[in-house]
Amino acid sequence: MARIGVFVCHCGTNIAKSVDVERVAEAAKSFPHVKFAVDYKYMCSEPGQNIIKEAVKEHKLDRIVVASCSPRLHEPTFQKCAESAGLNPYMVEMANLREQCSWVHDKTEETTEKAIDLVKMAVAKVAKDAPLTRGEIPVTKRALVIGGGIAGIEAALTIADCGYEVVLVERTPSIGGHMAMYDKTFPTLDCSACILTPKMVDCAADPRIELRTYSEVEKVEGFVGNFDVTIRQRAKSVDKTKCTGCGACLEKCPSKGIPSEFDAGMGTRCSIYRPFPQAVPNVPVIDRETCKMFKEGKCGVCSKICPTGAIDYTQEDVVTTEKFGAIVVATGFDLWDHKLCGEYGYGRYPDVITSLQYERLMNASGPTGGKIKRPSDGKEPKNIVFICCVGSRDAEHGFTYCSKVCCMYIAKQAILTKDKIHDSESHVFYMDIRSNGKGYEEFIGMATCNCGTNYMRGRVSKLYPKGDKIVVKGNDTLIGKPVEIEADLVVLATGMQPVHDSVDLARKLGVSTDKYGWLTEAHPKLKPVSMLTDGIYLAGACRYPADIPDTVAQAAGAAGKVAGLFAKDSIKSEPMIAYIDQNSCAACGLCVSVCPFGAIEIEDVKDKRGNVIKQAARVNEGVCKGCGTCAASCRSLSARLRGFEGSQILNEIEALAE
Amino acid sequence: MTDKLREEAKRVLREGIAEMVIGWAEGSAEFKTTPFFAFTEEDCDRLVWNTACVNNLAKYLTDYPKEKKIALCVKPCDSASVNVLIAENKVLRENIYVIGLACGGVIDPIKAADAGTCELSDATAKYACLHCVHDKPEVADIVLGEAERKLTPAGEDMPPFEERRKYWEKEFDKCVRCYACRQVCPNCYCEQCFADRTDPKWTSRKPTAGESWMFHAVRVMHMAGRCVGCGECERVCPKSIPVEKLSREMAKYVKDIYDYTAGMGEKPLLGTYKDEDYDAGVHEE
Repeated sequence: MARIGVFVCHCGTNIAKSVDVERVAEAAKSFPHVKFAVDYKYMCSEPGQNIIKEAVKEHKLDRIVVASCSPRLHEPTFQKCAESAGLNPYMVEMANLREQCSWVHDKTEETTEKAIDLVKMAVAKVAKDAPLTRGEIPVTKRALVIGGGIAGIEAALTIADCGYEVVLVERTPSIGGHMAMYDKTFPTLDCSACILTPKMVDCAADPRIELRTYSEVEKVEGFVGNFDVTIRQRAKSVDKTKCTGCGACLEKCPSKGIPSEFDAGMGTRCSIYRPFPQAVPNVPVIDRETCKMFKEGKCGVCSKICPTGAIDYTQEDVVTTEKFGAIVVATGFDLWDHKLCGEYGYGRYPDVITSLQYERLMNASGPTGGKIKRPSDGKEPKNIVFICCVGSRDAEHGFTYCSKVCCMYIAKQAILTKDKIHDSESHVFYMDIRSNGKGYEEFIGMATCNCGTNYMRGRVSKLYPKGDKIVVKGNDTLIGKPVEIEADLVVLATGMQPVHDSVDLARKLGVSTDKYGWLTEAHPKLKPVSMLTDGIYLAGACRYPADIPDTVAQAAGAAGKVAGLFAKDSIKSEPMIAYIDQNSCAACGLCVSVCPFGAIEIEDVKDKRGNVIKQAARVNEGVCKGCGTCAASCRSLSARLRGFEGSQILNEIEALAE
Repeated sequence: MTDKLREEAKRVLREGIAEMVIGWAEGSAEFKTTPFFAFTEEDCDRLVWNTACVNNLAKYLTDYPKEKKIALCVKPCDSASVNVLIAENKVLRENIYVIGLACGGVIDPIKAADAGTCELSDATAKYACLHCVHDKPEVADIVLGEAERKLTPAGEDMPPFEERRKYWEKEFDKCVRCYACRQVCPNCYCEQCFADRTDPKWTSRKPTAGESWMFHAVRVMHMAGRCVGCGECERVCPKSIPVEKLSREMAKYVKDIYDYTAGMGEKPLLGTYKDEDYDAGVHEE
């Protein structure tokens, strides 16, 4: 016979202000199997928990109902409390008197009646509760980092530093990401390459880190501690074991003039290329789309010139499936396609460029060797206009969110422009200056006061060419007057948007994205680097626009999560998950298609001799999150959820209907 | 037509396309046929095709292992049932040879006996056929014959909203819970029906109007996006309860809300999600 204790919480005045908690506790005493009921001001506090523990001992309770807040908030608290009182932690039910009763109703008779009904249902349910035990899942102590930008590099280095093996997968021929393209970084103006390239070299040198550049993740299966990931290594056409990185092939390749991705289209490359001189690994790849050898079947210049015979036109993609215990997603961002904003004339006027292109023009490793020259005629621009919020905070053309980094990099570019061209003038059209980071406000001050950048609050309405100038028409809303500037160069501060195939990646990983395509974290405040799928973490601008300090902090955080996971040999699995009664399962496969986590599969059921007797669904316990969608969809009631069995639910309904 | 069917059935067995042919044969009385399983070419000479071939033979597919090669004679509605079974992993398309028969409707044996003729007309037709718009099977390896729909389509038959409760209370009061409707349904293949479960007992076996209501209501929910409207449940009901009306109403909702017709899709309705899916429960005012 069940012996139930009911503990009603006042939650200060949160519940007590509209529910007569004493009456609820009194009413609970008359419910079936209830041996003890009491109310207390804060049930979750230490004295509150002691009341529970003592009552369990004194009245020999074997299950309890806590009538307080949402189980999302304090179920773990009371499970732990029950456990320390010697009960199975899953013999606890919570009646949500706060969110679902006192907060949403006024103090009336009916509010207390409803609270009593909620407790009655919880008592009916707990009477049918069965003890559950947590399982153990082994952990493969090897991490996969997807994306080789600063986030991926930092995560890989930190995980390796903790002593675990890491595979770093990067889509382009070199790690480094966007950060490698920048000239200086705000707010300290350190040279981006000087702080990044040592980390890249560390990645290559660390024996625990395996670099997989020019590779992509194709498929992810499995669950926390036990992911099976299929990685496609695209053919580089260069044997990395033979290549010394001498660069002779790059000089002689006849297919020149291909717009360089690394220079954001400002410079060119040839068919065999490495993105930039400090590339890691320093092995070129052949772009088979443009290479004459692959297009026309004849050329072979690079093969002839290579002193070590490293060129291999016959190389093929290599697809491998490997085991990992955790995954860090650090796939970064794309720049918004500002062609969608026609009034800024990008693509029509050569001297209207993006901030990333301007960054390449300022960079010593860029196409102009660090000399700022405008694209149309190579002249040094004197009058430069920066336009902020291109795509960002613009629901009409782009997206409603703020890209977070543009205000700061525009200030940086204005400062660097003054530094490189002393007699230049920079004008910035902005909406608001957002400079909420350490040292950021002072940095804006440096741009405005020390470098004399002309900041104007307002939007640009139109750009048009006039001679070799571009006329920028806008409005300075602070003085309330229209402004017209004849600029030599216009730089658009294009916002960040999710990588074009972020939704595909999310689908492969079985994680969710928001309406824009940014990957969704498990909790925006308390779990910013975890995802809802256990064992998958995220860092940097694949989650939301982030600057370098934020990205590095998140990457280290994600790596810390991975290290925390790997510090254990096995992890506890949550027992409140689905299971299938294979005897009655008809293998219709509906649960398989509705499961949001891909946790269910159809398998052959065998008898003792190994003969297949039927097919039935099976739940992979490591993957199941206990959402119960399968249980709701199953017609034969074969898919069930532990802790939410049919008998428990029916008991609740019957208690309510009495 | 019967000759063509027999010829095709013999060919199927002769060429080893299937081990057996499931079709219809002359029944015990005029106006009736019986499901028939032909294993040899001689057996095939007993197969018939006429307006009395009412049974939905897709029912028998789930009685055999998926690996067995079976040839099945189907009308358009039966073929939709086969499609549902394929989508739900119960039948492998490659192991089923579907002999489709063009159909302009079949008779209701009782009505036909009353009228004294097997001739298809509005008076003798099976009620479900008056709601059917198909004359060719959706899934078939071969389609035999030609057919034209000559029946006058039946209109809306659900009682007005205000009268429904009374109407169904009266109907369900008749139900003896023999479960014939469930047993004859080709898409009711659960190994254990919720109605037979005892722990917990979702519905009692007492044949009261309330408990029967529960059974039929759950059955129609389980048929959402799956009932092809063959009308077998209604035909076999010993109490002549118009159970098909419920499923037909459900099919109408499914069509309106999700633009889905049972037996026409590659995947089960409830196993697919589209962004534009309308959430009737949440948004409906």
